[in-house]
Amino acid sequence: MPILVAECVTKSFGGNRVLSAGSLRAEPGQVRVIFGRNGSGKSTLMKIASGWIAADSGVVHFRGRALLRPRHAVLARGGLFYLPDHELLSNAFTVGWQLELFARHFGRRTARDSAARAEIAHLVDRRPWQLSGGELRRAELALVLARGPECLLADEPYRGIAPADHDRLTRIFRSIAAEGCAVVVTGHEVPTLLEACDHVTWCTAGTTYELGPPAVAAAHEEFRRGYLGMARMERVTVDRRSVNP
Amino acid sequence: MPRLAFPPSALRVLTLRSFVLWALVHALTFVALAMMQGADSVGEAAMNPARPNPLWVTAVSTMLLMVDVRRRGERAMWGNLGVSTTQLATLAAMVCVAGEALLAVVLP
Repeated sequence: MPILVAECVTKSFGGNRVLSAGSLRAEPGQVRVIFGRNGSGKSTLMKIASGWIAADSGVVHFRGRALLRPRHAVLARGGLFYLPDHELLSNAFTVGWQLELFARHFGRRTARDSAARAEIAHLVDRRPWQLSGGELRRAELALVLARGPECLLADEPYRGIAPADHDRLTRIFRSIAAEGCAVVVTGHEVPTLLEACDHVTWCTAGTTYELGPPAVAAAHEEFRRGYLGMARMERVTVDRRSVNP
Repeated sequence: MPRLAFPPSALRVLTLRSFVLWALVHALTFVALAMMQGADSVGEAAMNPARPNPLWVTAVSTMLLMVDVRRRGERAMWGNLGVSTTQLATLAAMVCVAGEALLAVVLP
């Protein structure tokens, strides 16, 4: 049973309709990915599902409760964590202080353990502005680990980081999901995300299509043509075959 | 045991920030008022009987804390802790009210 569902979500900015019938599901133990071109509304959908911004219409179900105007802080108290594409950690405090803050408040895991699992134990005395892009993303995931959420919405977590760090991030996402957390991520890093996820959703033309498991999504003709492009898709297929012979 | 809305260390940080902002706004408004009424120096301004409107100081200080949180990019961090913007504003306003009350008692 999904822990979080956003259904029939619509949203316009000014006169520009970004979403006309968007849906998002978060299933415990699964990593789900939302693909879509820039401006297709995947980040907006995630922000609405997390209560960060309000939808024009639609409903969000969290833990079986229907919410017409979900509030981020209320959902966060109930076990949701929203990882925005930038600005999660404050530059005013050290990474360690912020990990302690979450670890003490929620009591799921110690700050030290969270830092070790995210491979940033040597960086806890630094402030976020002193970290590289990859280190910052791992520090943010350490915060997620310290929180121990039941549902994680991560907006473009792989953006702007080196391929070597992709595997580290994927391992952390998989381990969070293995503990029963429902993980939803967005992004454009197709090979990495197809490797990491259990389910693919395609966001296009203001609506979403549930494509299913990665193998099914990779074979979906419209998705291949509309999002991946055929030449790119052939490379992805070869890459996946080389990883999973 | 029920979990507090504000983690204690967050409460300390935000209270201190709110207090500093309130003190700055109050002091600057006080001096500005005195200057507008013709005081030529800070010493003369300190003797001015005109006091800033506590409601105005509270409103501006609260707004400044919200702007400060946004400017520092901390909305997501406090939000993920379960602290809403309404709670942040309430905390800032409470600090201002406490400060204004203290001043009303201390100053003649």
